[in-house]
Amino acid sequence: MKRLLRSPTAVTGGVLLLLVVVASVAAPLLAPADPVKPSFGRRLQPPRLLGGASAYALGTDNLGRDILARLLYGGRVSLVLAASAVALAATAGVVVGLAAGILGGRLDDFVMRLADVQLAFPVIMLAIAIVAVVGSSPAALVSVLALSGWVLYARTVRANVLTIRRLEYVEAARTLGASELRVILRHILPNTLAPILVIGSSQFATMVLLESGLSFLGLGIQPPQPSWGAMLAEGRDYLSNAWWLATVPGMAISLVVLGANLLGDGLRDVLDPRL
Amino acid sequence: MGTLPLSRRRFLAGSGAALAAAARPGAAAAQGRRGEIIAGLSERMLTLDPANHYSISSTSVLRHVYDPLVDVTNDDRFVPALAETWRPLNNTTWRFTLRRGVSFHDGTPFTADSVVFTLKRVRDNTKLIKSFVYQDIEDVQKDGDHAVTVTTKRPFGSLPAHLTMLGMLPPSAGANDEAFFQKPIGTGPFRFGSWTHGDHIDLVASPKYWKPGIPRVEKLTFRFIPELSTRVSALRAGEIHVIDRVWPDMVQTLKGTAGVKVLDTPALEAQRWHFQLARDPVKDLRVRKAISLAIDRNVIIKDLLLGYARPVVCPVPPGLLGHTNLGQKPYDPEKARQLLKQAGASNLSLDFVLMKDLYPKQLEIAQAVAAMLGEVGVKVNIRNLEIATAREQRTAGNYDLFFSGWAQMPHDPDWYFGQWFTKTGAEKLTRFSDPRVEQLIADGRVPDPKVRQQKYEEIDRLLWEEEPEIWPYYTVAIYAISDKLRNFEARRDYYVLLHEVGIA
Repeated sequence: MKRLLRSPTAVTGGVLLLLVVVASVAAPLLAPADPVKPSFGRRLQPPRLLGGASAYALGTDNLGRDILARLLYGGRVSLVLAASAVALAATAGVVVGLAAGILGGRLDDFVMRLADVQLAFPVIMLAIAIVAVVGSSPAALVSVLALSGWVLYARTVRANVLTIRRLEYVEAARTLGASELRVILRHILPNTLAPILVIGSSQFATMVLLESGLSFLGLGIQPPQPSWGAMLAEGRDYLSNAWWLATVPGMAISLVVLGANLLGDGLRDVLDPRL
Repeated sequence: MGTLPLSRRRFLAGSGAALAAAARPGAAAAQGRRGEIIAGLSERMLTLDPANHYSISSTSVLRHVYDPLVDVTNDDRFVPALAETWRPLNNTTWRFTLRRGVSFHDGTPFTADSVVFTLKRVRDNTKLIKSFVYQDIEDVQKDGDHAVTVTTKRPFGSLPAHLTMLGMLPPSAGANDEAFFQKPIGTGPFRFGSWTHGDHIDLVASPKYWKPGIPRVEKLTFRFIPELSTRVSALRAGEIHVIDRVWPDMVQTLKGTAGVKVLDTPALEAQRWHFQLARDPVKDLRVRKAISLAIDRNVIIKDLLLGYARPVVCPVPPGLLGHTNLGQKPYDPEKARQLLKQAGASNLSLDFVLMKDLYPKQLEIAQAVAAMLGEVGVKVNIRNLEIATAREQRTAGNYDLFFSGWAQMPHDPDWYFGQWFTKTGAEKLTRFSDPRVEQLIADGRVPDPKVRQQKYEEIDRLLWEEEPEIWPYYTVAIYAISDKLRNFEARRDYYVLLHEVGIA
């Protein structure tokens, strides 16, 4: 932890992420207006800094809704979806990876070929196909996102298991009569945690991007609920006369992705003994 | 954006050709015909077969290659094209006399045989998309080389209107359909040049068009550019000379661009969002009335569409046969709440289905409507679906309100009424069924415009009272053109017609 705090990349990334997370969690307190209710007389007001009304720090959108409020509430959607997807993907990936690594044999072959098939599909195309069929409820979105992410964990964990289970201390534990479950939980799993954390934090960035991409294509959260990708899509049509509509959510997405990536890099530097 | 380098090269090549033509005072200059016009259309052309589409862009493009029997002006008058006159002999017989001295691009003369062939082809080949319209034709007889009599199984008053959308083919097209439409010929002002699917089509002036002085340019290119911002930047960069389907929010930017003019005209299109009339709760008239009362149409028109739309006063837009002014639908949320209470409909939740990206600003408008209905206690679930999925849901009846517009092609409401307000037409759409309306539609098919007007007014009133649809606004068609274009007309039917347009 101390080493982590001394890593400037990790700290920068962590602070960025923390800021966004806190702001989103506190959205009901911070948001100056209702994010969903239109006020037609106030369409396309520029941000305050550009001479807009002082009530709208980031301006208003095409339906006169406060962009700051939408950004904060939209952040909740994006972050919660991304975090749940990462958690689900990690859990599934770890379980599958452990099983494949320890049980080996046919199961191992089957799971790894499945992973290959999965990797062969472009993620966004798979996501579009699935959402088009099952619809775009939040649960479906999380599953789609997780489906695109489990392979990384499964492969890493499996490779780790294969190495670790032949190490002397694991052999020793076995000789001393430790059950298979105890070996897995006490000796193997803790030693694979570091790469999982690293993958998780940088995958969080990918998930935010992917979720925004799906919402941008209209396959994510349905309007009028705000989400960053959908805000970006709605703003696209106004780039020539009200550029802040698309720019503001675009910057939010960039910041979160940057933060998560920096944090992931920092974590890797700290946790990976080879570096 | 990936096609930009290619388009620029083509544009340069095009202007090079124009320069070359200008430098050589040849035959073209003698006829006062010069230059090239490039148009950017929002919708891709699908086919070169005039009988096999109902696409507006295909109609626009193909009108330059083929002539129909009848043309329609921008103020909805039907005027002679290849037919010089036409009149009903009785309720089920039409007689057309044809223009003399017209020939196809290969030199063969246009005669009654072409009309007989074209009409029988579209009736008999039921795979053709326009075939369903012409099923009512009993027989087509020629009367000499320059007159044709069409008999119909039931009255077919809208036949001349439908014929504005059907280009006449030479009988030789019948030998081998596929080969003919590889390199089609018509009697139109332009000959077919080449077509790159999904990208552009080139047309070349026909030197012996029957209308003197037409066309006014040597070459015409239609490029297909579905993305509005791409269309706009191509126009502002001077790569193309005219674009259709401009959104209200773009108008200011375009008006501020040197060399660009913006034109608009009330379109033939009414937005009309239809209810699923067999489904609770919207099959209750009180609920439909309440929903209609809760929508502030003026806000949509003024604030969201910036005035580029007009309030609806009749299901049929002004200017068309069958229009009558029934007054605007009122906005009264208080009354809406009362009606909902009377109907015992509390905690209503409606599925509002949209076909993704089909109509300009539809998602914005739907969100505004959701907020307005929220004010009277109706929750709206916006379902923005892929077009095919949305249509499937409609067929299956899984919607309460469906976002849709209707362009009154071919400048006649018979199709609209027949499709949406007869039992067979609406079976898989809205489940509308009303024997009174059905009878009026049948009575309104006669050729006599006075009878039709009277029957259609009655239909209008019934629909206005029953509210099977919400009519939020009539659309305004917005075009932007280069100020070098001469004589361009902003069409109400969204056609981009350029044969009488010149370029400076």
